[in-house]
Amino acid sequence: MIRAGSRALAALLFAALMAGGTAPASPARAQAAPRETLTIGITQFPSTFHPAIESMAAKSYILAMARRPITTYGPDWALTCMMCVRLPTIENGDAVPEIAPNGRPGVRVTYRLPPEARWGDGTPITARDILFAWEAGRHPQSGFGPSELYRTIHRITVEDPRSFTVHADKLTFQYNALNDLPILPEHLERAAFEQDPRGYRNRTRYDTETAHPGLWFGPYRIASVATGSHVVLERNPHWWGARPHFNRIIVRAIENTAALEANLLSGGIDMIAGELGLSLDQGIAFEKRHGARFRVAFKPGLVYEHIDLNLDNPALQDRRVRQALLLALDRAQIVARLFENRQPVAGSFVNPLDWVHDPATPAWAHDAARARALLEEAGWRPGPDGIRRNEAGARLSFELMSTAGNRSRELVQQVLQAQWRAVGVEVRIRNEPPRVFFSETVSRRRFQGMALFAWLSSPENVPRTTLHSTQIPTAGNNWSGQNYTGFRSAEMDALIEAVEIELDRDKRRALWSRIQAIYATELPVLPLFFRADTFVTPRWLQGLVPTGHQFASTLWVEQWRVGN
Amino acid sequence: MTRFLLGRVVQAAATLALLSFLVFALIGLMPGDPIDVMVAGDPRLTSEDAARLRALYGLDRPLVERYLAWAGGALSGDFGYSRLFARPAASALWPALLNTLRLLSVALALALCCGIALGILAARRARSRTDYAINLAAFAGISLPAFWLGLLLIILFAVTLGWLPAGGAPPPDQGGAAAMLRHMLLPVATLCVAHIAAYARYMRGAMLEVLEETYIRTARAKGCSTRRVLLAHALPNAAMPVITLAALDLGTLFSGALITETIFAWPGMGKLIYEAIMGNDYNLALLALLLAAAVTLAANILADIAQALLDPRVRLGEAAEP
Repeated sequence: MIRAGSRALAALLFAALMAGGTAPASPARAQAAPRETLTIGITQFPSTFHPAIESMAAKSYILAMARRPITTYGPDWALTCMMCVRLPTIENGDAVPEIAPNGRPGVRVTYRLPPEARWGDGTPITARDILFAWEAGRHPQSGFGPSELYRTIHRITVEDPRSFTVHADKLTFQYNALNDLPILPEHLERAAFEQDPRGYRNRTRYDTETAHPGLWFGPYRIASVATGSHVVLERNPHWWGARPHFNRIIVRAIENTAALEANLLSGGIDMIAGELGLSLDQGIAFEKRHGARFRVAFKPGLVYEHIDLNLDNPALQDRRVRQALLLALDRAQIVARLFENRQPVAGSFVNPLDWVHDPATPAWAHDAARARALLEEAGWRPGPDGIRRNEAGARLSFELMSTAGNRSRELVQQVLQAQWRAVGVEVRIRNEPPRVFFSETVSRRRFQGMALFAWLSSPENVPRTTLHSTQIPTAGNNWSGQNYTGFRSAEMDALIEAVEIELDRDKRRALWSRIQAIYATELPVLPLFFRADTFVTPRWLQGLVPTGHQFASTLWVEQWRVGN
Repeated sequence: MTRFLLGRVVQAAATLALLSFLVFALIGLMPGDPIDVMVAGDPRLTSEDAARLRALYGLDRPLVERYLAWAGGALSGDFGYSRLFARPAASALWPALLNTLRLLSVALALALCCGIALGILAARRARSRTDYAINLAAFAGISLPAFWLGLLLIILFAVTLGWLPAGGAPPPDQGGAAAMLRHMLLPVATLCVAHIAAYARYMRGAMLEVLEETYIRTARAKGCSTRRVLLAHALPNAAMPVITLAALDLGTLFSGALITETIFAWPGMGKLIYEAIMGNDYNLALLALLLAAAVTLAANILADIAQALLDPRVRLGEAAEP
């Protein structure tokens, strides 16, 4: 009797457990439920929710739904207004060149905030919020990230509650881009900041009271946070723009990509963000298995995979050797075989989607015969083991370093090694954990030959830190700069300085063409390809447009809709 | 007993102090510091920015000086600020600890009950088909890697059958305890398998040894039932190694299960410690590791006490008789 009762109770409990719960357990159930909630899976959880303290892709992705930059690059890679009524330009009179206090050409740019703009607690967003953000950012103890923007802006004047003028001590072609100056709620944050600027980063409401509605002003506001697990966003009643479709968006952090896939297939999440989701090879495999159920889109972007050559290496100082190394590579075949042509071969660091890209840049298609000829010309002749040697008997041998544990890169390394071996160049692969590789080996130029990694840039990104001769890291300059190859070119230095301040688009395009030509001829870096992000979305989701640059697709989340 | 306890507490305190320095030094000696991690993630940060942030976070000071500052704060209950979670380290630790306690306490309790029961059953029917079946299952359980088993369970119960969620903790205000239980089932099952297998093997071995003892024969000769012989006479003595093992496992209650937590996206201590170490979050890593160490030490003391209570021959703190 007792045993029978226990069994019945256990069966009831199990049935209740299976029937109850929250997440739609099966795909069928997920589709039957009304789609008022969208659950997005990403592979990272933000360490802070403060818009200006520490940069992190997960944070940018989530916050793009709850706040907006003043300007940004749109999905078409053109600069656009998000928190201004119109984009200020010299032509429309909102931007006026002036002499800065340092005596150099500067500029003053006036922005007008949208008149309906309000924080999530109903408080109007005003120019004082921008002024506060700038003051906090300038303070050396505030813990804000990059300080260049706050230094370049030497004054902000409040014209009226909805207008402000930014005075910059430098007139560059990006004079009207205010992508990185955050809008911070003065009414909530100024007191904490002024009380103790050094302790502000620990006391900011963004981290102590993240769900406070007054911190947010996007189509959604953060409603709750479960650290390390998920963030819940709910519709912001004070949002003045187009009404977003979903009542609630849940962003779940699932670090393991196999678990991420399983969650998608089981209905635990609806989609996987392209910005922080599956790698390309995982995306390709997923598409083959589940392409009928989900929409899988591959968007090549500004993540530029390349090989930095250490130009202090005597063999690599010879330009012919560098050119031969690139000619020996069949990058088109690598992209076709390993990545099913989902990511484009790079001709230089400039993405073909960027308007300054010059298609006439030397492309260096695979030509093993020409590579061999160039190496012969440079004095490297095949030895008895097939590896080339110079007259002094030195072998043409390099070390190729990269980040250990990156399966995709490790595969590419093996193919590169084989292709170089075919023209008589020996390459030894030596990988290191990313933190060692980036913080010690690359940034202090301790790699002997080649370093394979990626750069993340923005549209029309001037390569000052990576190609200008003043940016070569040395002990003397405290390892400052990212010109890890040690590339020096007076012409390149002059072009970089000229392109930064050239306002005329046509003239700038010509300068960019020359920069790309020098880069592709001198080859301090061997371009490989532009990495593609994998966006896995349900077939019913419409309106999501991958951007391909560092500004997340969630900046246009109000356009996401449920279709047929 | 009191002397023994005092001695063990002093030993534990010294071990913790030494451990704290070792962990602090090891994290500090790893290549790259938190600012290097920031610079790698944000190409706009210049070397001047890095220097400014290093000074702000106190990373420009020598390691020993930083450790002493941390130790001074820790003694007064201030464990510093977690850089990764932008809040006091203790408050960043608490939700993860709660999640891990939920998961692992259920898993360990279940494993202990099932493991002991299976071990007793196998010993009771030694060299029978039941014994061979339990042994085979135990070996399989010990040999199955957690990540593989976890993925298999997800594929079967979440993806194919759609009965259970594939992982994560349930969002707030959704489903309450039932939702929490549904989310816990698969990770608990994954954790249980290896533990049940280990406990069953230990229990079986210890029981077989004890069942050969003369006092067991005496008990049987006096007419005790098999159940009484097993549970009242054999079990208290055979349980010693399992208690020691369980005490050591108790430490994992507070240090989490990294692989299982990662596979099931369970925001627990294992993931937290891993992220804190990889992100050079000294304060959080130290606090989490010290907590795990302190619990392991305390569990060992408890195991000693439990053994003394179960076996009157064990007298804590007293010299053994010649």
